[in-house]
Amino acid sequence: MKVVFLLFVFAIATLLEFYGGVLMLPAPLLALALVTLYFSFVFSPVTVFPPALLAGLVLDLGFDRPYPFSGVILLAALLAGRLIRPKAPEHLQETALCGLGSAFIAILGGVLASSAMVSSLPDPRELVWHLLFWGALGFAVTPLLVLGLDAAGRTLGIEGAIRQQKSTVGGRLRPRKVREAVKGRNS
Amino acid sequence: MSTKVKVSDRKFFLAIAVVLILLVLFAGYRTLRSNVGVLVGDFFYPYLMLSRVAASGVSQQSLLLYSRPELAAKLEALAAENRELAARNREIETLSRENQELRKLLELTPPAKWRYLTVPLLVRDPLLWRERLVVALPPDCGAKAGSAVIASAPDGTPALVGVLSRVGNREGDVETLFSPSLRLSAEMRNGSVGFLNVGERRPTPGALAIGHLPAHLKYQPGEPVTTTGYESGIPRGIRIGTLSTVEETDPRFSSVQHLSGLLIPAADFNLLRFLVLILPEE
Repeated sequence: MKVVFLLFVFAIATLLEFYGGVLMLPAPLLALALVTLYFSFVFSPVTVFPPALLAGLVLDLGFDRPYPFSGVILLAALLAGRLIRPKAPEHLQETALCGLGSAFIAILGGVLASSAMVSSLPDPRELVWHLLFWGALGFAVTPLLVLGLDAAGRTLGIEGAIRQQKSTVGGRLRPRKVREAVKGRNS
Repeated sequence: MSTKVKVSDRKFFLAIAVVLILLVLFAGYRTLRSNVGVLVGDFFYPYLMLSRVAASGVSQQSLLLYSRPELAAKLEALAAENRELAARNREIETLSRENQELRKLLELTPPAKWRYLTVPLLVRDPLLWRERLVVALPPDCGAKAGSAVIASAPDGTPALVGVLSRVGNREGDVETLFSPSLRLSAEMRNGSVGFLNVGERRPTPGALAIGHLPAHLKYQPGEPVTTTGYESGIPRGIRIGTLSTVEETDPRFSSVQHLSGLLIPAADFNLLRFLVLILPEE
């Protein structure tokens, strides 16, 4: 069931990448990078890399690109996300920064690959705005993606990315520190 | 004291959050402006057309306000204009026939005849956004690799977008002017010929490299650049763009034979929705 779920979600993400081209949204590999990041939390980065590579290859073939860069970019995006948080997340908010890192590297990698393929440099000003926007989108979307895919996975009996969720009140608030008066100071 | 610090901290973070949100919104606008603009334009198209339909309706109804002699006079004027246009058309047909007969006498190949096929843009590769397009092709449309692909420039005139590079059953790949592997000849206003994507100049965002321009001729920035007709699938005289810059050398002190420059394409590559294929008539 785990494998079916993983392959199904990767297929949907690949389809979304194609639809990005249909809807004229130039966000290369954003959906696949975030899905790869999610499954690296659920399983492990090593387990998730082969399907990510396969999806990237399908995308490269579908778009008839001269070089299959997508696999390398997805690996870089996954590493960036996991370097920000190597351990499994305990709360949804913790995935947002990983999403930002992954989205940032996916877009940057896409722009660099594009520049290498056409041998011209990108417009630096436009690049900054693209990185800022898609990075922010990755930051905002990743917790929602984790929430949605965790809920879908649990209905299929698959353990989600957030396994031991700490209670916001009990687990995350620090115990109150009370200052004690120093003896003999004011006396 | 501590309460004051907390309030000021909260205000500080609120201000930073507002600035960040505004920055992200601006980045989103810059990123999505051209592409979402097309979608939004398509969405609002029927509503925007309403005013034109209403104006047209009013204009037609206003004909009722004219008297019969006035209408008859307008009709007569239109008929006279039609007669004049028909005479001009006949003259052009005669010239065309004469041209064909002369070509036959001189044993020249007859001029190519073209037909035009409008096709919708199907998908764009996010990694090769400006360099490659995929268009939907009707079955058995007779499209061949090497056919010219044009689109309407912002001023409404046809402009070259690229060349059909691969033809499938239902779709075809278009290699655009920005593709570095597309080498096309281009004609300047002074009659000289250069080549796109060759030479020493590197393309910049929004501008193409043009090279092999004869060094002994003068070039003006802003002069139009058109197709030469040397390529088998591309008719002569289609606008490619305008010359932006050409390197300057003094032929008296330089042994350079060819110059390079930059060219700004006439077609807006962010606003492409429908393209027109130019196909040779069989």
